[in-house]
Formats: sequence, C-alpha cells, structure tokens
Amino acid sequence: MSQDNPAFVELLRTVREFIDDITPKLEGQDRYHGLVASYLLSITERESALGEAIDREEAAALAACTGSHAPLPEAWATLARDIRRGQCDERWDELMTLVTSHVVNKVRVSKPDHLHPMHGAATPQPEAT
Amino acid sequence: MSIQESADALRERIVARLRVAVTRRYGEHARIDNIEVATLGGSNRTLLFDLVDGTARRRLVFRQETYSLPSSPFIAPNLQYRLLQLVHREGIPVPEPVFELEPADELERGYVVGFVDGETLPRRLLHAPEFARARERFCAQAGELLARLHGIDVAAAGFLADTPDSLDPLGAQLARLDFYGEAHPALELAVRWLERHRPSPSPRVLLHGDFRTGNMLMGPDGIRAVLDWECAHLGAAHEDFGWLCMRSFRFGQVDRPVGGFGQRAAFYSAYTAASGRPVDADEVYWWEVFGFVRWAVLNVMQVHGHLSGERRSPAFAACGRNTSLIEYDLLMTLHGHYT
Repeated sequence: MSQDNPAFVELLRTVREFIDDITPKLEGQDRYHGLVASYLLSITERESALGEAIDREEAAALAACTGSHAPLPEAWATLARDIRRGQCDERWDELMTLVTSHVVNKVRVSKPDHLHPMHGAATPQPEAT
Repeated sequence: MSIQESADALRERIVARLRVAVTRRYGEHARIDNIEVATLGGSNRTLLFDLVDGTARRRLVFRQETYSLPSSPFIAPNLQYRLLQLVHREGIPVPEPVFELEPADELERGYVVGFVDGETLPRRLLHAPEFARARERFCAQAGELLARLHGIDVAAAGFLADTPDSLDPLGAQLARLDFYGEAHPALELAVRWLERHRPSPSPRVLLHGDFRTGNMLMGPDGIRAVLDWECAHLGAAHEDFGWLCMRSFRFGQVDRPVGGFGQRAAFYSAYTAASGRPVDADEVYWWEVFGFVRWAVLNVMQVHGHLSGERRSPAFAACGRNTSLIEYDLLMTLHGHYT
C-alpha cells in the first residue's frame, strides 16, 4: 500500500508531539492521561519499528523449541496450555530462556527503559530509524 | 471533547444524588459543599465533599464501585464496609466508616467514609524531605500494623471466608486469567513453579490483600490510614509480606525491598516483635512470585475492562502493555537476578 506523506509512523509521531506540547498545560487527571497517551503512542512507534523483526525471531525460536509452525498467537497459547498441564516440566530451563526472550521483546516495545542492562544494550530506538 | 462532557454529566448526576442521600440521613437542613473529584475513572469513583449541618462541617469521601463483572477480584462494597467497621473497631488506622449506600440512593454500590489528610503518591513519599521521618519509621510501623491486623480473630471476618481469594488464592488468579482469555506463557511458568514449590500450610489470618506503597496514606510522622481494602481476604500472613515487598511496588527504589522504604530485616523483626510469629524469608519469596502473577492478572483485568467498554481510559489501556513489565520482573526474580 502506497500512501502520501506523512508515513504511518510519522503520523503517530506527529500526534505524540502535539500531546507532549499540550500536556504541561493540563492539570490533574487530564495531565496524567496526557502523559499516558503520549506513552501509548510511543509504544505504537516502537511496535512499528520492531514488531516484524520480533515476530520473525519469535516464530523461529518457537519452531526450534516446540516444532510448531502455527501462527504466533496460537503457538504462544498452545505453549501456555502445555506449561499449565505440566507437560514442559522436563524442559524447564529451555522454556525459561524462550519465554524470557519473548517477554524481553514485549518490554522492548512497551518500555525499553525497564530492561536490565543485560537485556537493554541492543534496543534500537524508533527515533533512530 | 465528548469524553470531557460525559465526565461532567456523570459528576453532576453523582453529586445530585449524593445531595439526596445526605438529606435522607441527616435531614433537610444538611447539605454538601466543597466538592472535589479525586477520580471518576479508577477502580472506584471517588469524590471528596464537606457535610455541612448547621455550624458543623465534616470532610467526607464518597466511593462508588465501577467494575462489577462476575470475575471482579474485588469484594463487594457492602463487605468492604463491614470490614472497615471491623478493623476500625480493632484500632487499625483507617478512614472512619460513616454510611453505606442503599438502593434508595440510586448511586449503585459504595459507601462514605471520613476524610484523612495526607499523602499517598509513592514518589512524594519516597523522596520529599518532609517525609524523611516517615520513611525511617516505615518498616517498624508496617510490621506493627500488620501484626495487629493479622491478630484480629478471623471468626470476626468470617464473611470473607468463602471468597475465591480466601479459598484458593492461586486458583483465583488462574480463573480470572482464563476469563479474560489471554495467553501468558510467562505467568504459566510462574504458576507451575508456584505449584511445585508450595509452602506448608499456615494459619489463616485476616489479610489486607493490597498492603503496599500507594495504598497507605501518610503524614510526616508515618502511616495515618490504610486505604483500599477491596482485596481483603483470609489467608497466610506471608501473602501480605510478599505483596508489600514486590519489586513492582518499590517505585524505583529497588534496593529497598519493603515498599521502596527500607530493608526486609527491619520489617520482619518489627512484625515478629509485635506478633510473636516468625517471618520465613523463603515463604515471602514464594508469595512475591505469586504477587507478580496476581499483579499481572490485575493489569490484564484493567485492559479487559477498557476493551469491553465498561470504563475506558488511557491509563487502563497502558495497564495492558505494562503487564510485560511485571512479567519481566517476575522472570528476573525467578532467574535469581532480582531480589
């Protein structure tokens, strides 16, 4: 799909910049929601920049670990069910590693500052792309 | 714009009915004044107002439930009110229960309590100079306060005995997660770990259930009132310790495990000195892992309420994505990187 400028991510960034401009002028709950709204838009920007690469990486990791080539949400849901049924107890360390990298990927999108340096170094910022 | 208008309309409707509720109880000459909206969109709608009767004026707080789906993790407002009456009688510092809403008030479910002046914002409490002494005293005060709460005869709180969290706290979280219909492999791993490392059973005590920084109203001398009793239930004393010490509730002061205020040893020894009961560090750890699961599920609940349209706000939307931050802290704790 080809559209005129601004590109999708630029539209999101434009709205976020506007919210960042007006939020200091707000008070109380509106101000708080302004800060949160800006945060939500920053998530969409990071998701746009990182989402596809993360999905490819996770699909490969899941396939290597579980043999499943199902679409990602379904593959994670199946894994979640198997863990609950105790079917993954024997492969505990392997699953801890797999699931930790999945969660790290979610945090890279939601709030990369939250990551410990051991997971944070390689986080690309959408602004830099 | 339309959101703002509907919030104003909501405020007007609540205030009008609150006026009627007050005159029903205190007579035609009683009026309300100095109304301030604390929040209309949180888990509870909260309004502050003065009850004026002749020359007497008293600041009160109105709380109304906003999330009432069958999967709600919160005890019903009538049970909250009963509990407030109980703990207030027992000398726990809480806002004084004043009156409960009735169907005739047409204000749904909730109650009115006395206003207590103080600060709840974690960042102010953890950093502002005027709370230096409160910070110093926190571990000792929290230990003594929980010892007193856990020492209340559980039979007096028997009305909480059959809630899901009293019957099976871990099962209650799983049932909620399934109701919201989200798959979270990280939470499932933690649940599996919890099932395989259960502590031995301990006596049931009355738990606050949400005893953490942010839910305690504080002054320069320390804790003035414990708020937010809607998660109260019966269970192991260590559940309250784990929740208070969870990394999510240290608000950046990660080296101070007790609510961001202080060290575990000071809190544990204060509890033991006041209650005569020991605190087991391994059991606290188990309940911290449990706490991450529960906190994550509560965040999933907030976004579920947002997406179902029951109550929408940017903050509830953020809760959904912030679930990953809780899962991260949880896994880092299970890996042994975080303590």
